[in-house]
Amino acid sequence: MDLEEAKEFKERCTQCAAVSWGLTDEGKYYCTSCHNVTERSKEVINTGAIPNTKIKTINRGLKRKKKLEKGWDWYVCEGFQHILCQQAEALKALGVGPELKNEVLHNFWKRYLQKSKQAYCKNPVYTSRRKAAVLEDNPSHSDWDSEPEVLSDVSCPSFVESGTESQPDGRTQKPVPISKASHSEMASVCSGSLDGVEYSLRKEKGIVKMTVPRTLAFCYLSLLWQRETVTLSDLLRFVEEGHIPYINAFQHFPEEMKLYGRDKGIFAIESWPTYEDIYKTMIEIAKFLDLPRFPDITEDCYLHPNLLCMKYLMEVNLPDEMNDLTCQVVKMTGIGDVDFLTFDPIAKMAKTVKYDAQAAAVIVVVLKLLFLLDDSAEWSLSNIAEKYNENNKEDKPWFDFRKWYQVMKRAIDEKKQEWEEARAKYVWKSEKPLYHSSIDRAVVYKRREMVVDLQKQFSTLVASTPTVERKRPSSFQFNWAEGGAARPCFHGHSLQAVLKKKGPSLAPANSLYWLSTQKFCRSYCKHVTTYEESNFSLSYQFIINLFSFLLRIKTSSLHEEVSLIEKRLFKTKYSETKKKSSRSKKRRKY
Amino acid sequence: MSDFSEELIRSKTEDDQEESCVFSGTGMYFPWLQKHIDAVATEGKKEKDFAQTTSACLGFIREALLKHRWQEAAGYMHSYLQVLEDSDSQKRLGAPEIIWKLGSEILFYHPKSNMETFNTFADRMKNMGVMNYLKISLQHALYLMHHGMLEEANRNLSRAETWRYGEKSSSQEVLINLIQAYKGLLQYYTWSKKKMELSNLDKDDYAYNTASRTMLNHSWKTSVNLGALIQTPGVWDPFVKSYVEMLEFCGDQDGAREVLNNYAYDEKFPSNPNAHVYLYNFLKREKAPREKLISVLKILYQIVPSHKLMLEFHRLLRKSEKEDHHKLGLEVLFGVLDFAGCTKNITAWKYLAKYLRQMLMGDHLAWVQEEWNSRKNWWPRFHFSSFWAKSDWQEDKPLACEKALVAGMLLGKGRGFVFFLCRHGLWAILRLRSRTKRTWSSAQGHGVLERELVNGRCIELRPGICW
Repeated sequence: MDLEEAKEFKERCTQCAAVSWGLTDEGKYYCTSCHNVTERSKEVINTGAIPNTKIKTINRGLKRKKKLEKGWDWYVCEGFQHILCQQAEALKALGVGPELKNEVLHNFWKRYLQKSKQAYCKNPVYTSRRKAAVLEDNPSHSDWDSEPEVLSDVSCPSFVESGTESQPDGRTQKPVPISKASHSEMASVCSGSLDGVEYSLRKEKGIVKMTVPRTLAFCYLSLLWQRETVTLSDLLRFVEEGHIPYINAFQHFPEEMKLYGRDKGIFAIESWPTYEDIYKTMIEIAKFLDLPRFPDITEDCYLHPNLLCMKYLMEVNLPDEMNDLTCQVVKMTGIGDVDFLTFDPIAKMAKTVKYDAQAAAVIVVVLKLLFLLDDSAEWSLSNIAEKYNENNKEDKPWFDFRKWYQVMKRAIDEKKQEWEEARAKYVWKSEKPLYHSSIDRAVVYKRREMVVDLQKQFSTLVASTPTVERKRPSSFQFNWAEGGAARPCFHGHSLQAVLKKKGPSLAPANSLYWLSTQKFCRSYCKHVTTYEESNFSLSYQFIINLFSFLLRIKTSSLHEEVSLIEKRLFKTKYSETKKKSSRSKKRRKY
Repeated sequence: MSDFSEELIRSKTEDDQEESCVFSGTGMYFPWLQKHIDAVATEGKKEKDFAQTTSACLGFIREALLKHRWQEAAGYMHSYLQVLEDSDSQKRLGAPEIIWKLGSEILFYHPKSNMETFNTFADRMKNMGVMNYLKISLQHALYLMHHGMLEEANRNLSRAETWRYGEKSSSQEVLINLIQAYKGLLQYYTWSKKKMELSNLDKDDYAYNTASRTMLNHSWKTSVNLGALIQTPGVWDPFVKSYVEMLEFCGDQDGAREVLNNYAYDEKFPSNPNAHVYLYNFLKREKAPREKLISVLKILYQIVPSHKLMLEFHRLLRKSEKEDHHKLGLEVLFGVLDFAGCTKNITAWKYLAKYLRQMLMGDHLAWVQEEWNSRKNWWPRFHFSSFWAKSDWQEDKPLACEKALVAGMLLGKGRGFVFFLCRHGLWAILRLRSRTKRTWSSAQGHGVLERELVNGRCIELRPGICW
């Protein structure tokens, strides 16, 4: 580029210490080795002395800049609306009822726009300020008044009305809106959307600002409202597997919706959504939207612990017979009650249930009841089952914990390995790179091109086996039905070895139990218990790890759920503990 | 039967080849420790998952490279390239170098890769960041040389040599010198090939003259290339060697001497034994006076007392007239034999045996004593144990003889080494080799040796040295 003219600038680059400057189209110096742009610009002392080339570059620069920023006029919330739309479509493709998109999610979104004063209200937050400015500047843009109408059509947002007329030679240059100009002067920031800069600066109390992770919270809220057969962990797993647009969702924006500058910070995502975050956001949004009590979660709902337990028992290859026990635990703890399960955001203490984590916790509790999981009882019980199975090959086999452990350990290790490899190979960067400013643009695009080139070169060297074809979406991660010898199915095994007759019903043969948490935190630290892995038996660790991997949640939060269920199950014991402050870890059950 | 931890270990070693496990110092196995450490490391600052992807990817590439799974490595490389678009400029700037190193490694070994892919890759990487251009050019040239494409490598180096971008930083100046020097080395290669051809020609032949003239020309050009690098401090052994060879060929002895002196004695250069070796060899070729040779080797002796030139050094010292040189000669010999690598050096032992006798007869008992005092605690076990006696006797009888002579002088009879050898009939050989004119009494076994040693050579040794 204009290296000649940049020669007189002799300072070292702050980033790479090289002295090798070029001039940008705006007359600023940039480092040719690391592309760092300085604040310093070439001083033009005498207009007469400017060589012709210089004038040319300025002209060229202005023209290019115009071309860059042209596109539809659009607002940040429209971008989010577009993402939500795509996500709803994806959910529909996954088999979720069609009402979800048009009735539920649409209404939630409208309500959000209203509550956050962006539309559907008397005085939308930016039209008031902006209308005057824009009308003054550009009389041809009269659609500002109709902004809310534009937004009203959720399913197909129409941006077409906004100014798209092309101005090929720049004779009738469209003045830049005042507010934007003042901003770019102030901090040399800009954005492709109309309110990107304002949006990122906006900090109002009591308003939940939209972010990309929050779109997932919206999705989950509507799934919950519809009582669909998708849990939060499923939703996040679908995101991870690419069935629901999330990372680089902006790629699918219409061509004319240009994103750059501040939009990058708003729409570019470089992290996976985490269960805890989305869960928290979901409650926050539900409260912000002032939603009424959600539809009841009754026993025939997928999210009811009885059903979910059944699902997870199948998933982790445990005998179907355990379902009786899980139902019993659910009943005793009262976590199957409609009032307990149903989400009510306007209740005094808005809180909902982590349905999936809770169901997994119930299974852990049942395993503890049956096998104690103290690194010894489960193995001796396994010995009994093993012996029995050897002697009675014809009968329904008894469940052998050791065998199950071996099978599951191998399966889960393989899955984990696959998962880690897939994560390491994940392609984060979109084909449409985002840049901060027009100076940045060429560099960013060039970099993108380079990466694509190199990737092409290396992809020819990869083993010829096609990269694992995209997994079909499924709520199950394991399939035990067609396992073969290496992956036997334990669903039909009986629990005779660990149950014994006690009166009319069966009770666990093992009469001991230990509590996952002796004492709950009562301080303000917000967590009820902690999970220090090494304090627990290895089999307990294994089971906690197994479920937390399947649900993609933290081990500590699953441990917490287990402790909470135990708290409900052994209420009397806990009140005793308080009185006696006994320290014994093992205690008789009842 | 089995308990849980056994289970765990078994299944763990079965399915994931102990990659993630941690062994404590006592050999115990803590499968959970690694995970725990990871958890600690990521606590506090929350890293973006993008960064996790790239660092995990780097780990996988490293592992694949170590296991020579090139295809797998290429697969991860595909994803690692994203780091070039990292928003963290620190990482983005460091990335090209890592990518170049890993990528060139993969392309070097990958079965499907060929010269063309490597060249395109190198060209792309060269232009990625200005700072990497020269380094990559140089390594690219080395790759080409490795594949025998000297022409291509030379062209590459010439391109890199003339390449300028803004003001070159100081680190790049060294690189340019290095590139020139490699170019010089390539020219040296063709030159020395021509030299070979020349030596086959008849001196009176017409062709000889033209050939030698072109060679002179050639060497002049090359020395320009090599000269610049040699001025900068560093270890440049191959360059110096070829440079000196060409200077000598052109008859520029003074120039060669200056280069070598500079290379050996300039304090800015790191200490380098080869510098002294080259200088010594040059001086030897020049037939420099012994005094000068000794002074060069003296420095080498201080850096590497076990160098193979030390025996030559000893010979020089022995021939010298000066008293202190004689003393140094003894030191040098003992010094050589201090090193485990030299214990089987028969020449050294022969010299020592001869020189010790000379010393003892020449009334320099104090010198011997001085050297021996610091070694008497460990040499007997180090050199003269009965184990060594046995193995030396089996493997190398002449060596055993020389050692026995030395041991006899230093330790006296009846101690491990001599004792053993006497029993195995070394004795007869000793008698044959013995220069004393005395007649040996055959009947008295090792007693004779004792008397022989005592009477013949070691008599003065007894009170002071033997223990």
